[in-house]
Amino acid sequence: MPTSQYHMILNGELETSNIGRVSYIGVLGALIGLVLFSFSVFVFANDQQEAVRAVVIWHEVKDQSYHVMVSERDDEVWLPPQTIAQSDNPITTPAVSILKDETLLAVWSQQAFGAVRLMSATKRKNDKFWSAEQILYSDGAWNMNPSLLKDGVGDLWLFWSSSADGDTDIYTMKKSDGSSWSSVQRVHKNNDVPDRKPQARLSEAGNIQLQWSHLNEKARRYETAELELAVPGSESSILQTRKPKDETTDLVLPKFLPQTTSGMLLFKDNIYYQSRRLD
Amino acid sequence: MKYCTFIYIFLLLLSGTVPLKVYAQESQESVVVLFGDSITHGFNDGLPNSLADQIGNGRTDRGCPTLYLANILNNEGDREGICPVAEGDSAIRDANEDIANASVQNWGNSGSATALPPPPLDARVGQNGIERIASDLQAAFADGTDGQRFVLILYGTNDFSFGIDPSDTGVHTRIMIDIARENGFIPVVSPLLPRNPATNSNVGALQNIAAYNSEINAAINNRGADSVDLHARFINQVGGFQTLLEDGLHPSDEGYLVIAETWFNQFLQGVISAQPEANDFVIAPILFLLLEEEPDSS
Repeated sequence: MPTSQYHMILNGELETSNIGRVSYIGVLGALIGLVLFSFSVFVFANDQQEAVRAVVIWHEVKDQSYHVMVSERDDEVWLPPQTIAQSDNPITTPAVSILKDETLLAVWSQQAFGAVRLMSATKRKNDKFWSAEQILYSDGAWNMNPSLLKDGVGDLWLFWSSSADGDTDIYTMKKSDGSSWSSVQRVHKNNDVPDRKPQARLSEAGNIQLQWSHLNEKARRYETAELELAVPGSESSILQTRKPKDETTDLVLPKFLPQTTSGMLLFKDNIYYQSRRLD
Repeated sequence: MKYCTFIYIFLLLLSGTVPLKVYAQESQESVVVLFGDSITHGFNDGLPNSLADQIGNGRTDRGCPTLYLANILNNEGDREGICPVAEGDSAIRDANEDIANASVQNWGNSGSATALPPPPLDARVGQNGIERIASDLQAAFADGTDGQRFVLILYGTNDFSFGIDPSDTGVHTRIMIDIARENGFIPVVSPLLPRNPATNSNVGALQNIAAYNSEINAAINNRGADSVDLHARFINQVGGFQTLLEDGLHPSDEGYLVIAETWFNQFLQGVISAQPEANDFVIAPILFLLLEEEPDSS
């Protein structure tokens, strides 16, 4: 009496079934194929869940002028870069953020009349092109290293370094939807050493965790300084069910990025680790 | 007595007629470190441009600034093809009569700045000015000889690209001067070269460099350091400084030769030890000390 096909595989024996002789190898191959198909479905489904929407912004010199460049990433493909601003004057340290309505906001530093201003431009969700650039902030000093962060209640924070007081310090201002930017404030005590390159993210509690580079003058090296800014009402507004995930180091950057440049990588859907610097 | 007198007279006559060649001991090797970014490294489209290729690492056989300066200091004569295009002919080298025994070392790192923050804000720590100057200088002088040590600093061209304010560049320059001295090196600092990414005059780019040079010069004065003004040398170039630039930022081979010549004739020429020439005559006075006065036998 023939055994079931399952027994045939387990025993590795070629046995006769009611429908005739069945190849042991053929059945084994079918099972392997089934396993592989199931695995690929599982991976594909997960890939769809883990697809990362991102934007990269940087600056470069080309065609004998300075450019702010942007590329967006959808469906795991980086789109061709586009110039969003161009100048004969030096440009550096661009940053980008995404607003509530998925409008992209780019901010960068641009030399003008011996000082360095913060400039900005926007692109609405379904637009193909960016707006004309405009002056975001100018006080006659050198304003560089902008970094943007959206908090849990929807306000947009801008952090940057400025030499308004002689040495560079970290400053901030924020903006709610529909309103203008707040007054400018220094985030740390006044000191006589360089403080530069602010980078902000949100904690699980919805507070702003700000890091920047601070010169330890005695040790003659830069160290990372940190500050936590409470955002009232933010803790209950962190809607993401996923745990904070730092996916900022996993993404493969586009090959057309220059070897040495400054810029920012934005993760559109990561409410905690919203962006990281390229340099 | 008469015999000894005869010997003395003979030797005196001999010193006047027949040269006695006594070779003085060779001077200790001088170490000249070129410290900076791609302009120091000698970035050139003709060279390989992988990351490893863009780090000088103390090489003495790479980069036009290094090779041209070594040629000038050590007066090695015409050397065809020492850099991709130029032959390195230099009237300043030809006019130099003092031959040094100098090891000129390339410690330029392309794409680097005077300082960058530590991780997590930046992953390239160690490749920039204040982070690496101590270890680089210690490696440059690893054999511990007693010769002169100079570090020629031209650093800050990339600072704006990385969001480093001119005032910060000034702080970093002061730190590099201090560290150089602590390691037994004489620091010589130059303000940055002019740049021009556009074919027409670019006021913004020149203003940008002017702001950094103001702080670098202030750092030089604050620390009482020696200096060479490569910026002025380029600005004063007949026909304009653009003729010395390859791509609006990096020098051409001619520009690199001008850099080497300026390091030499604005500073090194006056201070670096020269080798004694091989046909110098030294009549050792000890000969007379060896001749003892013999007692009069008469």
